[in-house]
Amino acid sequence: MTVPAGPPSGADGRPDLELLADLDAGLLEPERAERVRAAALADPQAAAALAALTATRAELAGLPAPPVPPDVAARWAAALDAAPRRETACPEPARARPRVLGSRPRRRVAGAVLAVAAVVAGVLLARPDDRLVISRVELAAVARSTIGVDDLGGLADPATRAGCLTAVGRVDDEVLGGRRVRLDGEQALLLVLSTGTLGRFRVLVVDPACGADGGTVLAEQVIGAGR
Amino acid sequence: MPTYAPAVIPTRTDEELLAAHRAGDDGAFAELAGRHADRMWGVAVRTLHDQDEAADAVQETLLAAHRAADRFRGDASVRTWLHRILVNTCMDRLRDARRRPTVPWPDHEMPAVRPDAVAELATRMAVSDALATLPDFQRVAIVLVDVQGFGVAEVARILDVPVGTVKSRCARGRTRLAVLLGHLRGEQW
Repeated sequence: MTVPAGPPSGADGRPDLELLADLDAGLLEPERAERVRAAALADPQAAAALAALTATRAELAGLPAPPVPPDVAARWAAALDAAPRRETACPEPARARPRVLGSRPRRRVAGAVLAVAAVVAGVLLARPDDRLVISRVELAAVARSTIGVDDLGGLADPATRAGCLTAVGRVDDEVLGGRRVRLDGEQALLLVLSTGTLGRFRVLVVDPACGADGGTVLAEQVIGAGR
Repeated sequence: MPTYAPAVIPTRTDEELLAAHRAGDDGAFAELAGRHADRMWGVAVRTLHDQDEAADAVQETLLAAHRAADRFRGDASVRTWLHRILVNTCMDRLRDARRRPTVPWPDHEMPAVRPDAVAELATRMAVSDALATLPDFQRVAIVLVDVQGFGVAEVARILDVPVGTVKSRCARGRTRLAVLLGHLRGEQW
């Protein structure tokens, strides 16, 4: 103990500090706890010590969670990516290399990535090449990491993409990124679209066959700053 | 007009994700790691009080868990298992750091005053700095229970010690912190 020990409990009726801390931590048997608590409450200094321990716990609980720095999250992702892969029980057929997103200059896509300041560690940990299994509550997080990704599947073809956007009523929106995902267990395509407002994006999850002949919106959400 | 599917959220449990990883689902471990990375980071940063060390410790933990998934027996939750690996990794790093006197640890300025004389300090310490002065075992217990909000029973499983030991380490650590943080005037005791 760094705090000098006080008189032993009972000598002057005041529980010592160690005993009070034990009481506070729930270490005492119920009957003894009752007696010590009663003695402590009868003594202003002991009562103040209990209050101090409570205040200390409150202060510790109020310590803000340190955010994971994006570069650290990226490092973890890279390390996991480089870890030996496990054998796949049901191997998927090899996919073609993702094509470049339409005619959009890469510089502009990179700029959009930089514009997104907050990066969710969980999303970073997912490899962009994999078909990401997502739930609806993760749409915003996934969207942030999808900007600039051009894993567009069938929508890599500009005409098909334009047809799909028209079919789902988003003809004027720019595609900022897209990736093949699995939502509710079904294959789907997640698109991040511009909204015309800086810092606001629309996440659209459509069926993989979305095109000029029609498409189904599986999920939709507007994320980012503003209302 | 677009049609909307019913809003069902079939989220896999941690155990299901780990099983999927064992079965060869490449994305499953990343999803699992994503769920726990924030909390693990918090534990590592508060325990090691050094961001670089914490980043290495979490990375080492994730890789160890990735490799050792087959050895997970389900006698504890995946979260408990991950934190057990993390805490052991942090403790190893603390021990290693002490064996290397030329390497500064932690990298911030430590309080010049010993806790014994701390009652004489005019100013109270920042919580994170105060935490850094605790003995390792007390600090880890406090970080897990008081800062991260784990129950004492789970912390006992993480640290592989009896529940009473966790409570006792917390009690001793809180007493010292109460003085360092200015809530308790040490000279009165």
